[in-house]
Amino acid sequence: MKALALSTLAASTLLLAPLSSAQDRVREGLLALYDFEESSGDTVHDRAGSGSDKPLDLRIRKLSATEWKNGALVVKSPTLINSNQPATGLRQAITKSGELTVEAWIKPADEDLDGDGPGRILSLSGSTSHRNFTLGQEDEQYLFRLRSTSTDSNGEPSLDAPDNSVHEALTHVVCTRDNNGNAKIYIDGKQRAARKIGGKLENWDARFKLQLANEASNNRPWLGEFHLVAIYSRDLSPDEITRNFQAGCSPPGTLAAAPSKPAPNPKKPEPAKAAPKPAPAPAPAPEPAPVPVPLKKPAKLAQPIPLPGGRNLTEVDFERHVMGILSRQGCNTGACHGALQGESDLQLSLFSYDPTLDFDSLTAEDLGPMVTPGAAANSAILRKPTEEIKHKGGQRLVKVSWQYQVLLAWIQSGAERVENYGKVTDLLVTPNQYRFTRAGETIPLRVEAVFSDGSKEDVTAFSKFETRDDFIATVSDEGQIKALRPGDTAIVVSYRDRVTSSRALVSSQDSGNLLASALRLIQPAPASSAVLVNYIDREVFAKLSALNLQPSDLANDEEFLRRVYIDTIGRLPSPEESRAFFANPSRNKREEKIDDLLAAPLHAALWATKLSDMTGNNTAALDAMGEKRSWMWHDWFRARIAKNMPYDQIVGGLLMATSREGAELNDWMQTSRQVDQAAMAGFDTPYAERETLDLFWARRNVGVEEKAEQFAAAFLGVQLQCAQCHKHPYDQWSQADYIAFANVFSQVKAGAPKEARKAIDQENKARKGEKDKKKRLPELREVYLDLNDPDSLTDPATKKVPPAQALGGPTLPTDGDFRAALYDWLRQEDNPYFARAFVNRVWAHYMGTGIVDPVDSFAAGNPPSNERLLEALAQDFITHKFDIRRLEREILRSRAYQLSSLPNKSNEGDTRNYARKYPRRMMAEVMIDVIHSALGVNGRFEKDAPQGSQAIEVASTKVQDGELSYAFRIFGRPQRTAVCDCERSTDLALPQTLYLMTDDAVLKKIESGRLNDLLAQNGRRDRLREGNLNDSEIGEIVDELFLGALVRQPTETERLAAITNVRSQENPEAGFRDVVWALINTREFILNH
Amino acid sequence: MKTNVWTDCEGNRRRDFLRMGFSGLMGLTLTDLLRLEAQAAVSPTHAQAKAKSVIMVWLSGGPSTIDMWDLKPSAPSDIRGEFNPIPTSLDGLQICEHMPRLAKVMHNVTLVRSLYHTIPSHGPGTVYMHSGYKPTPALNYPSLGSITAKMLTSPLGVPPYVTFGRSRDEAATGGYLGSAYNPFEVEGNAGKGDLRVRGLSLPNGFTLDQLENRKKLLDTFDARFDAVAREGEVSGSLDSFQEQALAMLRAEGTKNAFDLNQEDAATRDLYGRGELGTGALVARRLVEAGVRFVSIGKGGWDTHDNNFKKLKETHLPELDQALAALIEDLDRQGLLDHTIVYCAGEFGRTPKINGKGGRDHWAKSMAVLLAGGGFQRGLVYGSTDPEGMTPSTDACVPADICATILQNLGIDPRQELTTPTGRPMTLFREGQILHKALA
Repeated sequence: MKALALSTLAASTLLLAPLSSAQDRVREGLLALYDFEESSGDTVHDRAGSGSDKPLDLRIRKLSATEWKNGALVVKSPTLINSNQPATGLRQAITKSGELTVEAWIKPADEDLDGDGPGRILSLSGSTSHRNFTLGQEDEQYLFRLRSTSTDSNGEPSLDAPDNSVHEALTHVVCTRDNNGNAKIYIDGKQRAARKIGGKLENWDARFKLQLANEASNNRPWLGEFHLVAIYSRDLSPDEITRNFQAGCSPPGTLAAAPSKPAPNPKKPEPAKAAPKPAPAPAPAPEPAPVPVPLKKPAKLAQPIPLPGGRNLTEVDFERHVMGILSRQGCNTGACHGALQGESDLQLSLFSYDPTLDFDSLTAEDLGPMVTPGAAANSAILRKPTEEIKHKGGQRLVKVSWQYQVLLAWIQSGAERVENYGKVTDLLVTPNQYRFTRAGETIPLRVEAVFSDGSKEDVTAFSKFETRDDFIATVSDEGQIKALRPGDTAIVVSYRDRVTSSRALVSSQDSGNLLASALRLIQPAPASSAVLVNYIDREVFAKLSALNLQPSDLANDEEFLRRVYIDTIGRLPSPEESRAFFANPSRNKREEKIDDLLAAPLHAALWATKLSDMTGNNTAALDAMGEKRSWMWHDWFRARIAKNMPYDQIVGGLLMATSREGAELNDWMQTSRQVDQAAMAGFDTPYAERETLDLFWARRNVGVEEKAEQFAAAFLGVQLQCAQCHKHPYDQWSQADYIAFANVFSQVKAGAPKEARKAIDQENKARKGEKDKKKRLPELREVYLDLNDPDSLTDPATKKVPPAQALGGPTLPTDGDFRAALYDWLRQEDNPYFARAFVNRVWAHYMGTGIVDPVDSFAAGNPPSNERLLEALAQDFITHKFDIRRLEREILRSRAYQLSSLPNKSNEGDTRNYARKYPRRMMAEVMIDVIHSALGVNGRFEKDAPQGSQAIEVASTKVQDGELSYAFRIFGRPQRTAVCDCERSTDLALPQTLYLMTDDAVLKKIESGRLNDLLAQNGRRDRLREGNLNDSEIGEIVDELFLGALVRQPTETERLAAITNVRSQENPEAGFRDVVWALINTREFILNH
Repeated sequence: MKTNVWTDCEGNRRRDFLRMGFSGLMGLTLTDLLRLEAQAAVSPTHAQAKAKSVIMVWLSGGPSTIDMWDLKPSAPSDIRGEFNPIPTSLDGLQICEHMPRLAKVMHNVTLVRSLYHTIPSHGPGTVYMHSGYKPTPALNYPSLGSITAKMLTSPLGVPPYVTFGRSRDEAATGGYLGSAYNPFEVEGNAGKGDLRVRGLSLPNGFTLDQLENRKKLLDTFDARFDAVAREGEVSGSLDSFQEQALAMLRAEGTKNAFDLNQEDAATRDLYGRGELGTGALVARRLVEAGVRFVSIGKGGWDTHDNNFKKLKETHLPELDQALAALIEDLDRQGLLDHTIVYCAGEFGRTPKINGKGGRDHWAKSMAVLLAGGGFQRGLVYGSTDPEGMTPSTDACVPADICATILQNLGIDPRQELTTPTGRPMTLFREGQILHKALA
């Protein structure tokens, strides 16, 4: 990607400024917005700014056919500009509302367009005869085709604007269609055509992508300029169309990305018809099956109950209201009645996932009823939480509360339940994003539930609110957000078992910051003239701009070099490497260094270690040769990273592993013998040449459940464990989802398949019979597929084996290897997890904290801190065919990565927006290698890895070397037994400090390493002892020690203090040891920054 | 450190003291804040703490408790074994003839004969006994010592949790509490008397003056980084750890605990000068210095063959002397009332003797000893069937023992903590307090 020019930067900085005026375009119901302000690149960004929804970005398929021009995209020759994935969110919103508006500011190149059919200006379609809608130009007229149950699949008959309506000038064209089928075309604010296009939109095709300037089949080109394109999920009124027309097409600042734009009137939030679901949205799921309209209706209340927020409750329903209160008051949590065995005779479903269980529990007679309709006020469900009678959980309700009134009214009305009346299909919160401009400001959230009968209800009073960071903003029980300090946080909203979130941004009040930041950015940075390097910077800096956070300066060469070595190869540069880099005059030296490091063997070892963590490379779970098996596992990943195999292929090799890989039984047994013999003899085995990683499946005591959980955490970034027993509290996953997903892994077994049993038994007899213990190979086990007798899990609720299903995705074909079908699902462009999970992991590795953090906790209740950035990374990764090294390179060369860790006044509190580099601890292996490289010694790990290896290359979790195993333990290297990224501890701890201060092995290395080498040169040691080493020579040694440990020269003060210390010690050599000791105990050394 | 704020079951938000501290409550050090957090975390029962410390005597390998604490003289000979029971200082209680000194302190202990669990395998069994939970891949549970280290404070410069021996590295760790609550390890040779806590001692010949000099140099070199991290979690924690580390290195108390020359010869002889005796005496001294949880022990209890010879000739005599001396000495010094002594291994051994004169792994029944710190003086808790196969009365599981020990320490076993993924975890939701065993 090209670096952006400075003028562009200035423009985009201003554009992204959250200073835009409020009187501007209509936003209500906005689904997609393209303002063509990019100025470069092949991506047209969707700037609808709906926050947590995935923006529907479009790609220019042939960049040379276009030209960026002052807020417009000129299509000079035929090309196609379309989305990578089907426009699922857009389609769903429109089919739901039955209304739409399509708007375009364009300048046609040709007043009279010839062709086989109309040129496509804007189209949601699949081919020349299959569409959902198209705005096109035919000859001298605009036309609008819309598919409905009363038009054909081509959207015919179409609605046509009058002849001669096309002019070679900037034109505002709008097509609308309302719920009753009234379709209209407006040109430059005036209605120019109208017609009935009746029917419903429910027959829209789910597969279509959104395209500009052509048909999906590439044979209906349209040429001209695009200035703005917008799509709404409602029919805009003539007044609103006039407003948009008057707002113009691209006055800078008014169309801003507005990730932070406040709702027009916070007191009365917009209904948010198309409010997006929390990301990550599930894969395009089949629409929920229609639930039969219940016969009964809940009881009408004689006397409406006023709810907080001003609404009156006129009917009371068990599912919608009673369960809402039970959830909101915390009755059904794990420590209370939601526990598996209930609590004190009342069992509720955990976080209210099961209305039937809850209703039955509350109304069952056998344990003494909780409700007594005849004498409602005497019901235990009222007397207990008000503590009229003893309640272990304390007082949860007061009698004068509305909650009490609702429960009472429900019991008085007969304590009945209308089944499925409260089945929620969607949960919307408004505003789903809000930017506060000062501390103390408050706004109310409004929560609306959409139920399966299509009705909507304001359920704010029945919802629970939590802030993810109460340092930034708090939220009251009633949903009032209060801004506290600059920064941003998610507010997690739950209504019964549904979870969504809203994002609160609190921008810094210092209005000077923005300008200062812009000015600072415009000044050329020392090492590179480009300021915003790539799309990563665009997204990171847009968010900073919205928060009014000033980024730190670009790191200097010293800071950059130390950081990039630690991050990529897990050690420090040698003094020679540092000097060479600092002296290198090349303008591209950072890029060159990045490329070198990414290609270095240790870089592959580092990722092999991380992938070993993710996939559970646990030596204790492997066989008698476990240490070597762990090495083979590590090596398998390492070889692939080294040759930059695409990520999807690496995962495929793990996912679809079998031992034989299609080979004949005897051939496989022979190869296995060779591999095992090689492993017995040393570390050099041909295992990495295998196509698949069967060791993942060969671990003992790892069941179907664990494999599924591990796979989900590693490659989907989803923690499923909760759902093994109950509905996930912060996500959508139910126990049924869990079991169906786990069954994908049920066909794989390790041991001996029936037809091979005899041969394998015989081989094992031979292996066991080997007299020489040193040559005795472990038992041979085969990882194989058993399609006929899978270890399937049964759903305890239905007592049936649910068919294997991708997580939140489609049911997989019932024949063949489920894993292969899962693999296909993973690689789909619109897979909501696969690419996002990995780019987030890579990002977190280099940036210190994930966009979703922790990295294996993608969940509705844990939204990304910067959705646009995450999506941009994922899309780029997919577009470039899962090229890991490219992804790393883009991150490493971005300005965001290369920012200094030195904070400024504006960003020192920032912990998740990457306004500065966060100082952080290193992985255990890296810490050890960094200590060794600083001291100039070689680690000796030959008990656990080939001679000459670094700690990052050690694969086994049963570390034989005592020193190493101690260091690993105190620096938190995981045993890889838990399915959680958190098993690798990144905490700082006292023993780590003590280790650096007092560990015998470390102290010996201080003496024997670089210091020893430096003193051995030029007879320095003797002269030192004789007092004949002058200050300048001592200074030279000090310089070298600093360079080795901190990758920089000492300051004058530091150098002087070091020299003085050497001079003042009785034993001057000990004085040098003090210097090295002090160096490796500084925070600057211990942290990566 | 992650700053997840989740709501617990009660709807209370977990206030993040660390975060608040650095930006809000100026003037307090991290140590203070940690202490505040610890205090906030401790339930009201804290005031009623009966015990301040725990000494765990760990018999690694799985002791044959049927030959030690719960003999079956009337069972067939292939179960009964070779040892005879002898009477003890507690009326009606008999234990093994090769533990005569222990027989004299039984009026001061609670002997639990009805413990059982389900994992007759060393690694996971050890984890189970140390944490009170069956190991699971979903979550690593913290050891009892780590929970104690997290929930109780220790004097500045004193490590809260110290272990001898490295045979159970993984079982003794902090689990979901984090590696910060891993134990400090004792290294060196007990027999030679050169024990020390790893990482807590200055190198030989290194003086405190030299340490102060290094610290001055360190401060000079570290000053520049203040600009990068004036405050903030990472840098602030490091500062605080350096302070604590230096305090520990300067402190005399812990180091003195290892200087057994300060004990008279009679006391040393009382404990015995072997690994277990030395460890037990050091453990008592560590507890006096303020250490909350000390774990000592000796391996070799995995007696698949020659069970009786091994027990009789080496294992039992050493244990008898060291454990009896520890209980006696603690009592004499008035320490037993607030120090829990807990002697156990990962499981018991098969009541049936195998072909090699040994006994194999058996988790379905075992006996453990508990003394002091709120446990009854002179009690046999529970019993097994006539062949020692399974508990027949008052059966209990590791979680029950752990919960009871925590409660005696003033730590509410129903206390809720948060895992690094934000999952609320009750320390022991299932563990039942052994009420009958409490004084």
